Amino acid sequence: MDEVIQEFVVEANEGVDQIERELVRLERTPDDISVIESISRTLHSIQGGCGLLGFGTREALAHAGESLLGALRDHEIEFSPQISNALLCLVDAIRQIMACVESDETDGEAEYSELIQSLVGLREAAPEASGEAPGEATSTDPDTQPLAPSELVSRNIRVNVELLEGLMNVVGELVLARNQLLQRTGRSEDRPLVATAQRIDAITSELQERVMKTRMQPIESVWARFPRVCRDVAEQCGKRVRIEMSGGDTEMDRTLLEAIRDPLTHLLRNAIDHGIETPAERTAAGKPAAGRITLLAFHESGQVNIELRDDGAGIDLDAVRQRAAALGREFAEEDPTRLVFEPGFSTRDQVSRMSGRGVGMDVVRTNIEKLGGSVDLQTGRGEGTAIRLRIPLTLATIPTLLVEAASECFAIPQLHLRETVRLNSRDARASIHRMAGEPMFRLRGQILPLIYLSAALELDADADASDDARITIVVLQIDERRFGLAVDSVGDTQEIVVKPLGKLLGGLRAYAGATIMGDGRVALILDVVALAQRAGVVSEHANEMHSMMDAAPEWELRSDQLVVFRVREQGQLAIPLAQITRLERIALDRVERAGNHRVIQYRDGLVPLVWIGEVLDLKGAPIADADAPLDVIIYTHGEQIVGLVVAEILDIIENTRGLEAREDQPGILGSTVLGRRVTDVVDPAAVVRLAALPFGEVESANG
Amino acid sequence: MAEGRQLCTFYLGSECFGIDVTEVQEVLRNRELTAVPLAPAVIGGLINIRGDIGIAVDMGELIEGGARADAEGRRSTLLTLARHDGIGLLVDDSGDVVEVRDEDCQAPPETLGAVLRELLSSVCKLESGLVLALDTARLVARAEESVAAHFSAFER
Repeated sequence: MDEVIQEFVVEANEGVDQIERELVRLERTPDDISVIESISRTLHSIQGGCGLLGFGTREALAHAGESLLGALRDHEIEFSPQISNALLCLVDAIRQIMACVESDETDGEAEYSELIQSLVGLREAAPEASGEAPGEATSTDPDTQPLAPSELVSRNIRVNVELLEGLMNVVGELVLARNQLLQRTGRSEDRPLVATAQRIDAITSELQERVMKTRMQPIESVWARFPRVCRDVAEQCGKRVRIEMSGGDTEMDRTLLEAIRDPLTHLLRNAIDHGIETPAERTAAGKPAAGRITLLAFHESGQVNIELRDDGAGIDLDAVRQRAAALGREFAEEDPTRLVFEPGFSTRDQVSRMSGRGVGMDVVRTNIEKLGGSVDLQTGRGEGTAIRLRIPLTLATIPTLLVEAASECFAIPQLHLRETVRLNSRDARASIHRMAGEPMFRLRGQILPLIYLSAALELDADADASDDARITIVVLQIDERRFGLAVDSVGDTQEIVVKPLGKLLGGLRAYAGATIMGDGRVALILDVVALAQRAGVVSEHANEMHSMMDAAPEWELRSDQLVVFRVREQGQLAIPLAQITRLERIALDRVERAGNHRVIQYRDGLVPLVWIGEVLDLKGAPIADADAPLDVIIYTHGEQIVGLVVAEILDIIENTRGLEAREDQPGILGSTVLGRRVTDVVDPAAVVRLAALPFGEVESANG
Repeated sequence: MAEGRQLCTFYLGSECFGIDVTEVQEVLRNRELTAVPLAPAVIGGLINIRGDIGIAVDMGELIEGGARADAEGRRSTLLTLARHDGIGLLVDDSGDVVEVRDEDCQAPPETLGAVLRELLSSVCKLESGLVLALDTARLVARAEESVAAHFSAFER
């Protein structure tokens, strides 16, 4: 097609989209002159283009619209739903014409004289009172002001989509090659080579980021039409609906955007047609007469999440189950929220004009899964329905940590990663426990749930059987919840390209996609949110486990809990847990000097360190490990925080026997037997006194 | 000259199958497969095809549901499909491209199981032996169904 005509069609379509958005806004704020003027301007350039290209008859159409707008602007007439409808018809007409131009370079055969007449008629009509707008749209996005034409021209250029695709592919290959390069130079001694490799690394990352931006478009570009769709559908169904959109600036690859346009539109129609009740029904149910639809988009774990929520009647899951039974399929046991996406599951018997008879939802799910994504549904009777789409961000790179479990390599997105903990057998025995049959582990005084990755992936069901082998735990956090993932080993962090798993495996929630590693092998990217949900760590039933865990700190603070530790090769000591603020492990290089005393910077203050082994008069050889980090018991002495340094914190044990009090040794309250060993119980206040710290005498907590 | 077509043949054990040569993109050998834990047996694994992820469908599992599991060694040949992006058929070995004439082919006999019959478009008699001609679209559909059935059994 002639380039000039092509340009014109693209611009006209964009212009028409903008007019449509602005018309819907105008319905909400009919007095906003700037909107009217903007629509006029756009219409005028379309009109000009038509004239230039010899589509003379169409000029008349655009002209009629423009003169109507002029009358509005000059307050000769008042805005009304009829005017709004007529102008929206004009928008549709122009789209039709552009479609003809695109397909055969003529402006089509259709006659628009009726439309022209009504536009002219409205222009000449007497001022009318404006009726209620059938639909309203709100956008919570910050900047929806359309740019004036001249600004648009200078800030954007058009690029052929295939050119961009080609560019992306080449950059993708560069990323893989860069990963391979880094793998090799990582072990190299050749300084200039390593430096150059690092430079290439930095440049590649930046190049990739920038090129990716060219393909990424905000989801807003798909949502742009929704206020109009919402308005039209609501009007046709006799309902009142408000639509709110947030996260419109969430970006997705443009091909994905195109692919979700139809499914999302269908879901929207469905929500208005089947979800939202009529104003009368809503008022009777105590809800506001206007239904509310919320669209939300955000990135998480290398995927785009799009949620469409309505506050309508919800889906009747019992009816769905009954229908399953009626269809005689073995769906009886299945989750009804997944059944809704099966073909033939609409619970309406009449074909609805809008969304058809149960034809839509299965197509929606199929389309989303083709992209490697997944669809979920939650619904509440009388409360509404929320549908969530998750789609991998193709060609996005995310930083990940590579881990190994059962000889398979996996990538964990850094987003949820907090830290890695390596425990030798003894520490493992001490730190890993079971609560209600579920494995837990202790991290610096906190108790967190533990998931064994090889068990979760059913690679090795007995992975959690031996709680005392050496183990590596990756600590993850989702929202407020932290938990550990036990793996065999942890590898490098790597920036990887996320690739969707494809249609066949898109429904497998455990993975967020796959990637090609530096050595060319494929590795699966774990969807830690899905894993955590499946293990019950985050979700409804996790609440139970969590309230058990929240209760656990209380359990730990009962006064007969003792923190057991060593300061000598032989023998062990203990301090009542109730008196302790925290247990910490501190790297040696954090120890500094203030005057004659060793201190650390801790929580915005200087905390003096007291070596229990030095202060108390104890027999036996001190434990020498010059390089190990220090185990420190943080103790609050009146107003002062003190760090009591021990050689090694062993465990927290409940003392079921009493204490045999002793007076002969300063600092020692008495002895008991813990873990079958005689243990002296230390009085931390006495230790601090004995250490003669320079901040003066403070009343100890026990008076 | 009678109507005919060309079939790309491959082997599962000693049985010879074929799909229309226009359906095959390329034949890859001895490529490393990455297992997909939690996926059904019909998914043989993932493979790197020039920087893109391909899914290998284990043909032995798909056609016979594991009955041919006593094939020696892992399946090592992958036929990537031209019309189904990112999907490849994992087989024991690939064979030649053969010409078959319509008159040499007939509908699959009842003696073959119903499961297999549904996937076949015809059975062709060649000098070298019988070739079971598969319908690629139905193959892929069957793979999709197996996967979907497996998931609904335990996802959520």
